[in-house]
Amino acid sequence: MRARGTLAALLVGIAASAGATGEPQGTGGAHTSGVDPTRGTQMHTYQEALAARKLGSMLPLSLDDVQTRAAEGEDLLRAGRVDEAVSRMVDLVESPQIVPFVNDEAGRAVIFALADAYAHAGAYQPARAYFRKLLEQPGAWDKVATYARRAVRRLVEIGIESEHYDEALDDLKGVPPSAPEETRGEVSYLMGRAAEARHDPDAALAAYAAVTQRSRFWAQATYLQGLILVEKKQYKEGENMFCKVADPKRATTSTPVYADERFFAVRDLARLALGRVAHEQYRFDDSRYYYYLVPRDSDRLAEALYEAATSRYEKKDYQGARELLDELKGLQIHHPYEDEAWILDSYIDLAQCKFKPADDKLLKFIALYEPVRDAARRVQNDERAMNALLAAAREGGDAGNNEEGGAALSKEALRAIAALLRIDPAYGVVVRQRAVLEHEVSGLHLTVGSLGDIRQQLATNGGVRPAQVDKVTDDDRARDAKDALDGVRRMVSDLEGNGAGASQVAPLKEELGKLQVRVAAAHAASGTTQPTEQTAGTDLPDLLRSDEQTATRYAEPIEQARAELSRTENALARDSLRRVDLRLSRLLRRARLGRIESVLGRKRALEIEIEAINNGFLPQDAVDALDAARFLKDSEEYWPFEGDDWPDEFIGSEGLK
Amino acid sequence: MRAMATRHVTVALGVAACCVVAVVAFAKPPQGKPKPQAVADAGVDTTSADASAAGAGAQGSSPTTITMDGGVASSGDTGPVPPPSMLHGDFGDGGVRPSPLNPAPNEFAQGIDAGAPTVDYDKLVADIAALRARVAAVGDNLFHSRIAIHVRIDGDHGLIGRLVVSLDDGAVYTAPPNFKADDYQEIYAHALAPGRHAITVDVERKDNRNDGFRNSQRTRFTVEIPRDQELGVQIKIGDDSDMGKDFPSDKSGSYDLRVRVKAESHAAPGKK
Repeated sequence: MRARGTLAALLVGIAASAGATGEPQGTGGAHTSGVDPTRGTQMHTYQEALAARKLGSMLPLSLDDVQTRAAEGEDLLRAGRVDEAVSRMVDLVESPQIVPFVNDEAGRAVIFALADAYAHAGAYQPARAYFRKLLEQPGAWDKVATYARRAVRRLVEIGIESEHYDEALDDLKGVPPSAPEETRGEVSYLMGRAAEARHDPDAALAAYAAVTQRSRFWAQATYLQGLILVEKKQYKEGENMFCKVADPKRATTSTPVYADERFFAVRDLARLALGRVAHEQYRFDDSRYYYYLVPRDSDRLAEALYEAATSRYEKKDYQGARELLDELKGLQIHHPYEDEAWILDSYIDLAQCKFKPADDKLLKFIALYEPVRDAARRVQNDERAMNALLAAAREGGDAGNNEEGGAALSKEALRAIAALLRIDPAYGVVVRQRAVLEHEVSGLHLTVGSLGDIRQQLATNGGVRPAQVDKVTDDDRARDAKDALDGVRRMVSDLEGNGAGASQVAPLKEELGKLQVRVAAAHAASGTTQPTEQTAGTDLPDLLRSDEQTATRYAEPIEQARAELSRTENALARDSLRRVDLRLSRLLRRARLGRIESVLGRKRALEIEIEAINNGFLPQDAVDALDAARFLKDSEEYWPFEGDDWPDEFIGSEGLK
Repeated sequence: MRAMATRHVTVALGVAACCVVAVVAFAKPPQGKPKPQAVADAGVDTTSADASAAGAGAQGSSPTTITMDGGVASSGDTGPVPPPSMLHGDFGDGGVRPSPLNPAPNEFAQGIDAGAPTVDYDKLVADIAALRARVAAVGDNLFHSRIAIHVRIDGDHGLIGRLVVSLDDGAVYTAPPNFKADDYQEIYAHALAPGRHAITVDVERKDNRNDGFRNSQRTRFTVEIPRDQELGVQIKIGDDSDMGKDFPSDKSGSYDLRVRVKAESHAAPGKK
């Protein structure tokens, strides 16, 4: 019946491979009222201002130039130089010289490169606007329609990643019914995800059914159909769907499907799902077979082995369960089922009446995991340590190297927590958003400096930049203050971990909290500048001044966004640790119960033995006690009488009666 | 479940045995060293059979009796012993009891309400990205002086955990995970105002023999870009650290991470 508990986890699995779950952050509308969704108008105004001053390139572009620069943009993206790709492509796409090429393949390639670069940078609004521009072009779907199809693919990816399904579907409403089959499959898959997000399983089923094997999302759509059917208790139909993906007999004669690395992840999920459905229906042998299909190189192998062991245990095939657990141990990896596998192992011993080994294992479990559970609770009270731990767990790093927790949290405890964490995919989304925001904010420093340089260049007709002053900046001071506070926080954590009383630590923590508030307030104040009135005008200095003012106005929303993302990140991190605490507490209770059962079992075994002796049966160890060989030393030998005496053999006193 | 069956059979004997154990424990003289305070388990479900056992740690100081389902009850309870809850528990389909290892519903991720966002994150990021792009594009059009930054990573056992290159305190390049550059690789090339600029290299490396040994370094260089010239900046990150190899065995090792910069200017290429 493990399946009954784990079936709910099926939906969690797909989130990891096909996108994140949870409420979307922000509104994210591309059609924000009064704002040019591409943000290209201001660049266009700059181009005109530059042209008016006869600055910048005035030469017309040839087709070769456009193609070369589009290829350069794609090369920059491949090399991870995303910011450069964005700036170069914006310059080209919004220049008047590109106009003759906009509606041909070279122009489309440039627009696609710009949209793709924005999407890579995490700026989805302008990315979607440029992709939409591609789709709305006359003749966009003529001939092979390379860029229209690529734009649809990227829009679907952005929709899934951002979970702004309705907006993504709105972007795709221009895709004609005559579009290629795989492109229609992309749209259908997105419609299915959107229907699932608004809790409409029937609409989702219909949409997923329209995804054909020519689509890269066929495996995901089929798997998700299976999940919906299983949720509706239509197990047979659900199994049929999973079988389509999990088919181990797929061969060259089978209908070909699009398969990339995600296909194999979904195939393993489908095999696990088949095992779980069979398990749910008490078809334990079937479930064993399906779990067996998960290959040894799969990330899901530990999950499959553990669940297969559970199903064998429930079938009362304890030896089979033991073998599977031994195989799981043989992997020698940390996995999220370590704690549960340990308890199952002990319960298999109990079931086989091996009370002493069971008790030993349970004792070890309690000794190991009680401190881990306590450490998980302590980490929850320390934001930096908590986030460092989750970052290590999410990125597969060594959590034992987390220095944020101080010496009070042992490396082994931190590693054990990291192994047990089941991180909500929404946490990954928030962390990514924060990283994007920090990168953009860092780039904004350079932009503000560049604006000053450009203004000076215009004012002095090519003056040299003033010497770089290496004085301590506000950012440096803020970083120093934070580092100093982190040191104090670690020392307080060490005190707590080494048994300092709550009354001793409380005033220190209170003082630390006040200092943190002061540092945060000072940091926020240093970035806040008084808003000034927006400068009007279309000449270059006016535009530069206007952008300088715009840059300073971002300080406040940046701080707000940082605070909100940090709040969400902490809430999600704390929730992950709370769930570890709940699980370990349940398993510790189960371990204590198991110990009681082992004591009762040993007592019962003794009683049976006494009862047998009363009935005249010697227990096996008593029978063994009569065996003389048991009492020999290593240097002694014993030759038992084997009945070889002859009747006429001389025995020493022949003739004596 | 055989373990469950065993428990059924032995519960009656268990009560008596554990009563004796509890009484013996109670009769012991007080120990000099106080017992550590028991830590409460989280998420105790008082309706489940496990719940009573959960209190076992927490109620260590009072005389207790183990109930038939393995839980504990106060010795002051003199009323009739209630029937064991496991005999009346909620059976699953087919009369098979759900596994005790099944996770509780609250152990799965629930939606977190962190409050409604007041800032339109997507709009903010889009606005900043667009501003940066257009200012960079205008700068590229106006300035003839350029900078081109190249990076090379040396060292057999050093892995790059993080590498951020900043120009005038603004990040211009963030290396992807597992970044490698055995030869000089261009990471940034752009037009800039002539004069002095600061390049900051923020690098964290770890040892591929034992990634517990890692160090980070933030190095800031000032370079001067001559008018109408392109300054080629070659950043070489060399690593001769042997902590990962030597320290675990010899208890002695060293970190040796060096960031070296070579700058050379030449005539800037013509604009396209």
